[in-house]
Amino acid sequence: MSPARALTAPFATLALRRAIPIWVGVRLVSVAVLALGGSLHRLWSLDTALWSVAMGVLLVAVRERTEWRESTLLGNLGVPRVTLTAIAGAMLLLIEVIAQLVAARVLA
Amino acid sequence: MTPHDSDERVLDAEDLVVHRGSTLILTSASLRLDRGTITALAGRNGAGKSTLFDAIAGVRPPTSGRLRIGALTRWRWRQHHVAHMGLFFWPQQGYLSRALSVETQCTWMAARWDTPRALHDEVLDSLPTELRRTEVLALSPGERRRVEAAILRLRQPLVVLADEPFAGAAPIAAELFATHLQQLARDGAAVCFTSHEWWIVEAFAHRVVHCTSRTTLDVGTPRAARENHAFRTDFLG
Repeated sequence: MSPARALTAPFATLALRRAIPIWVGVRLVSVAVLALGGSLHRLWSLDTALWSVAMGVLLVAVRERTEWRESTLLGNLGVPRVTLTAIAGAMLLLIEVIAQLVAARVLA
Repeated sequence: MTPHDSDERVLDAEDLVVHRGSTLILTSASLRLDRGTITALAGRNGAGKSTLFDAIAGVRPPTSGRLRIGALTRWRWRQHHVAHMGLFFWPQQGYLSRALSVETQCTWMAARWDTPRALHDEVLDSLPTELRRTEVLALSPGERRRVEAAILRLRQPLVVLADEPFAGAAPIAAELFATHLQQLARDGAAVCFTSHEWWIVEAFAHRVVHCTSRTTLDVGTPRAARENHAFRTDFLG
């Protein structure tokens, strides 16, 4: 494994492992709330997307406080703890954008 | 040159004051560690040993104090600052991500700190193949600590703070962890560990620091510590 890949691949893995379950969870809550309100057609609207990203980033930040071992590992690697949260937040945004694009294509 | 000459002192944490909320936990606590020595930080439960380590490691920074590692001094610090200064923190809860394999985290550590290939291979070879490929989540606490003891060598640290590395370990496992710490000291690191097991302190520590009454006192060698009335009364019973 090249040194660059050895440095970036674990970051990407950890960030994805934080971002994906949180995005799925937030989206499931969206489905439940919108279905209860009878407005499931708004699932892929801009306001739902913004709500999902905002809640997701908040939950990613909360997880930083609970993932004590990963934070210590990052510290021992000389990396500020918030780095992983920032990358996971960015990935969550990217997942939402991809989901919106796919939804727009499918629904068109 | 004696171990207390200034060139040999690699960590000097002075006058650390630590609060948790409005509660004062440590007042004017200090820790001085010398190159190539193993120091035991001993004290009763709740005396503030882990708090002192957390403060020095920057996990929960102190309210005030000064920290010198090698030639660098800081008055405010976080864990990533002290990592760059050469300190490695091994907390009781462990420091490896549960989501990644042992081998991935070995490679990550080695790539980050430019570990020589020979040392990287030596550390990997010291671990059984089935342990290397396993995610840390699947390891038993004893296996995890064995892996952590090996991986921290990849950093080639100036200072190691190990919080209760022997807690709950069988004597043979404790000796294995101690061998890793001794190897680090032979390589020139200053090692400090906390333990409630006096036999481990006597067997492996060169010096003892007593954590008591919200501060720290250097009580010398384990033999001198045993003869120290205050230490005996407070810790050995």
